[in-house]
Amino acid sequence: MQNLLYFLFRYGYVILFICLEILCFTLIVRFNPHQSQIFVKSSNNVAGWIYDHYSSVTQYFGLSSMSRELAEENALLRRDIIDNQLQSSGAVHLKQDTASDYQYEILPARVINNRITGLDNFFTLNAGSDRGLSVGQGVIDGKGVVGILTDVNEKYARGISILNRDCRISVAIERNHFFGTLFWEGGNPGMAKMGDVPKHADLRIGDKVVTSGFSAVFPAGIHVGEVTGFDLTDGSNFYDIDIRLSTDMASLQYVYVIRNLFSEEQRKLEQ
Amino acid sequence: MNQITRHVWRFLILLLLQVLVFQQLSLAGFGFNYIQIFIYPLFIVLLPIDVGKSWMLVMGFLLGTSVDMFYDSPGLHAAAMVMTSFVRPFLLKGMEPRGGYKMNTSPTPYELGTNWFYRYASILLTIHLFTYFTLEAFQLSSIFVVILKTISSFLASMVMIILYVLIFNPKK
Repeated sequence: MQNLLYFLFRYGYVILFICLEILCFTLIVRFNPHQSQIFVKSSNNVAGWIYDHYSSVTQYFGLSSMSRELAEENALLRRDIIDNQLQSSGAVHLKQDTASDYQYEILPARVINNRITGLDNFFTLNAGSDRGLSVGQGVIDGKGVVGILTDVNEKYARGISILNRDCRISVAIERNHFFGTLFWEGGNPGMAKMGDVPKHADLRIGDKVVTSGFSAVFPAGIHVGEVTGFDLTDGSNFYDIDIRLSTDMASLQYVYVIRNLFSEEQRKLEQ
Repeated sequence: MNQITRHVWRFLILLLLQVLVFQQLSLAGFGFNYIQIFIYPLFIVLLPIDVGKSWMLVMGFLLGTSVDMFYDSPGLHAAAMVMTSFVRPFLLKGMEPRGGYKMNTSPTPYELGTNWFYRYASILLTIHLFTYFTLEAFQLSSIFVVILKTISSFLASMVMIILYVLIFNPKK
């Protein structure tokens, strides 16, 4: 206590000095427009700098939710891109029903398990029937076709990827619409085969291959890959085409499940 | 005349001189707004040597605030005045003549010599002006303007301070 009093006696004027200067400073920035403008501006610079660095740190924590939101938004945009077919197909709606404007719904999902090393590869998604997924739906990612769902439970879904010998996808050459079947025979996970293309088809190296839209699984025009080579075996009527897949199956993360709202109708008719 | 009354009078005279004469003179439309004549720091300059440090801070603040009232710049002169008052004891200590100060003296030319007084007064005035113009500009980017204003205002103010000291010849 004595020391404190001594300290105050000895250095009280320093404290008084600081208090008075703070008071003056407050008065200056409070009542002088020129100084207060600079004060606000420079304090904003400082605050902006701090917030900038703070958010560059904290945004890492939000990355997963951010990418989920982005995936959802992408799914919406994707629906608008591929679904125009139905609106331009001349269908007349008597009632303005937005639900019937779309043939396909796009549902975002994350790949939680994926194998590419076997002969029959599967992947697992973190969404199930509670999010509207069901067996037979196609799966794509930002670059192209991924696979088809084969098992769906409430929370998860499993599918065969295009790197599976049981996977058959109806595809077509984008340039001239010759269609065929995409399949995989094992080996290089970046390459697949396309069969059933007749020998009179005009093929070139580099032709883009897209989904044909004939099946009820994928809408037409989704990227699959490009032709890197083709070959006509003696006596065969069909080309043997090598295709470089546009999807990198080894680094799959976010995918979109395509739900065809009219798949039942198409299946029933084609039975 | 009582010592306190003397300082109260000086307080009032310097304040009135500053706001009635030199404020108008500084703005007298020379088209060169780098000159401000400040005479009121003389109040702090001439306070007795053994006056309490805290008292000096309070008096500096009061005079600065009074000037601010007329200059419409709340806090600006006061901040510079408080700074000047704060520095003065250190300056006095640094400039202490051999043998120390006599009891109950004021730092006047009469007591401590003309040379000593003007050196002492100019240092305090420079500190005051520099603080004032720094706070007036309020940003580091205009440091050259601040220095220019300090120098030009110092010359003008110093002339007025010399005149004041010659006319009134304060002894205590």
